[in-house]
Amino acid sequence: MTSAQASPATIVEAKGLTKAYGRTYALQDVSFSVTQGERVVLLGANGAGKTTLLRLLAGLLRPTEGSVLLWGTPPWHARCRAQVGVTSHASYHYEELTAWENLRLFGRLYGASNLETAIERALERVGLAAQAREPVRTLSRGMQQRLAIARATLHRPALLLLDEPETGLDAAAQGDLATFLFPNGEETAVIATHSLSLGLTLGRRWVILSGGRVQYDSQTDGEDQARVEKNYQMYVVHGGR
Amino acid sequence: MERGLSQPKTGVLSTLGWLDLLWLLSLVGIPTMLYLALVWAPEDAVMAELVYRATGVRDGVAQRIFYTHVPMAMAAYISFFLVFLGSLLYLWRRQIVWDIVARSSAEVGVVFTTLALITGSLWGMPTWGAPWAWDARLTFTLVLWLIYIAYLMLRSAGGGNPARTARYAAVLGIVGFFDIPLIHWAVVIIPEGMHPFIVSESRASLPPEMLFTLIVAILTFAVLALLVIGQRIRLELAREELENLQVAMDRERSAP
Amino acid sequence: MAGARTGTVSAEAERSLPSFAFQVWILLGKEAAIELRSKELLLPVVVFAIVALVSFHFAFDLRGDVSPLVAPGILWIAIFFSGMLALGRSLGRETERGSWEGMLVAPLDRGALYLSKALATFLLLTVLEAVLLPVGALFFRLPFLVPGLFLVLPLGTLGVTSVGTLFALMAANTRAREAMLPILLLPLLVPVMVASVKATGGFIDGLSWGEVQPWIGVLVAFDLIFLTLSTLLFDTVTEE
Repeated sequence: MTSAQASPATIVEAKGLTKAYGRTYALQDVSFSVTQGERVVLLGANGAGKTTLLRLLAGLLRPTEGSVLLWGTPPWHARCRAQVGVTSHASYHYEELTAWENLRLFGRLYGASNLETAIERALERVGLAAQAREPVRTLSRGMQQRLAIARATLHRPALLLLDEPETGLDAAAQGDLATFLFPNGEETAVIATHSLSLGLTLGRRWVILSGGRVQYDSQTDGEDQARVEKNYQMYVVHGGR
Repeated sequence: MERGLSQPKTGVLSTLGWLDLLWLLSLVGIPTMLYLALVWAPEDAVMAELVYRATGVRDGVAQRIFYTHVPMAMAAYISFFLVFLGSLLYLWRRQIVWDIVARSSAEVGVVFTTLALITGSLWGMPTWGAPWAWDARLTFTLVLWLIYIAYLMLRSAGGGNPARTARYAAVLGIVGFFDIPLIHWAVVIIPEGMHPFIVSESRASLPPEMLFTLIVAILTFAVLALLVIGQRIRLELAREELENLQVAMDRERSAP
Repeated sequence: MAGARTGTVSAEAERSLPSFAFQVWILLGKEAAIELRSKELLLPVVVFAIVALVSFHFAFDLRGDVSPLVAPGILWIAIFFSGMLALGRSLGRETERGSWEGMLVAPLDRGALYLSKALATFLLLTVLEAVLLPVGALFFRLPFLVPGLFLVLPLGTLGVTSVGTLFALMAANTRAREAMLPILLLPLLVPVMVASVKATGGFIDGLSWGEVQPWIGVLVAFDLIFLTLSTLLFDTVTEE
């Protein structure tokens, strides 16, 4: 669990990660690690395994084979989950409650400190301060996504797991996404996205998945953007052919 | 000896050579039990009297169904205990073998419960003059039957996620087993405690020949249940093995 | 601030996580706030129970002498089916709307998640009973106003919600969920049904404590066993 301070600490450690549903393999033999401060973008077509990988990291799924550790602990342990912030296809909100009440509920469950101030700041940051007292039911899809981002970052998680965080956001909000998600600029994150341009601006490392396998990792296979784009064309746009 | 069925990963239950022994015991046990039950055992006066009082018919033969009814119910209880053990071990070890043990035992248990309910009704015809009179023990058996029918339905409603289906089924296998003593308490023990007459009559001591026959029958049916469960497990393991080989081939082909 | 974190699970964050009991409390508060605002569970459940009483009237003609004979059965069938309706909706809407995943991602003890759902449904059914007893007594002339019922009702209701919460979550994730819940639940709840009806009948008939006590024993044992077992098993039902 403890780590040397000299090199950046390893946060995510996945080895031979495989998830199967019966005979269908959603993810096959994925090994990779994420260190403190890294911002990894997962790119891939629908069904490439991005969501499955994020759900495994979030402890929502158990691996069929292989292992995944966050800070040396399986991610489904409560003390791991406390340090992780997640956005998913579902917004997680209770639509009867107001934006403010939803944040308060999650903040209390995560044991967030200075909750009232933290909520106000988070709402301010994602541009929802005016809608704080409105039931989530009445918010537009884009506003709900802003709220989901506020919720995921409220407790200052040490690791963000973001599944298509741009969903439903207008062009202006997509431009602000980096400030919504990373107010400190140093957060560690794994981000799945369909948008290559967004991926290139949000990330510092790019991983391309296809058919449940890692096909390209900029860390090992060359760092420059041209290569990312070439591999993106090959594996995502043309399906690996 | 296992002929093509490679050892399951766990090595558990790989010694299905046990099955040969169970086959042998069944081959000896079934004719012996049938001879004892149908020819050798005397017809019981107390039971004949009960039948006579209820129906006015002097028919002692019907009571011989008791040598299959009781053992079938016992075989079902053994199967349900195996469902519990398999479920517990599956949740603990997460090995598919234990799920196969649980589901095979549940199928066999439901078959034996069904047979026990049918023989019970057949016995009920001359005894109570009706196929179903909500006799406490038969009612208890009926509730167990419903629980394990629900178990099998839950398995078939699982959808495309076998691991989840196995987990859900295991939860029901455990909860159902803990429920059994409570059902027995509520459906048999308390009602009988309120009518002590029935207890003294149904627990009338059996003549030694009848008791001997009953014990042989119970053992034979227990062996038979274990044999069928064992065969079922062997078949399911073989199917699992085949599927793993197919998946491995698919993955090999799709690998870069 | 977050930049100061080390790569380990920090001890401070662990210490500030709410305790098990406080988690249950927070989640109960959430259930109450949602229900008070939407009445999405209480209204259908109360209306359902009253429609059921009217149907029982047409089925048995409650004006006659049968009333005390069928009253315990009517009461408990109404509670059982209302309970399954409430449990099915309560867990079903969480999984449908995706809020359940948020609960699974949060650093909660799964047992706390289970207990909050079971207790919330228990409280909901208690409110239902508070309506059902006077309505049954006044308008259907059912002998529902007996002190002993205040003992049987909570024990039996807890029995329904204890196992019910566990299986409602399972049913919510299977095909044919509406049919699956009663098929799974009713056979398991046979001891609760038998004991609740017999104890209720005993209190209505004014039997001695000694004659009712065995049934209360069944209910207490059932509640204790299955609240514990379900709290332990809930983790395996939520995992994927």
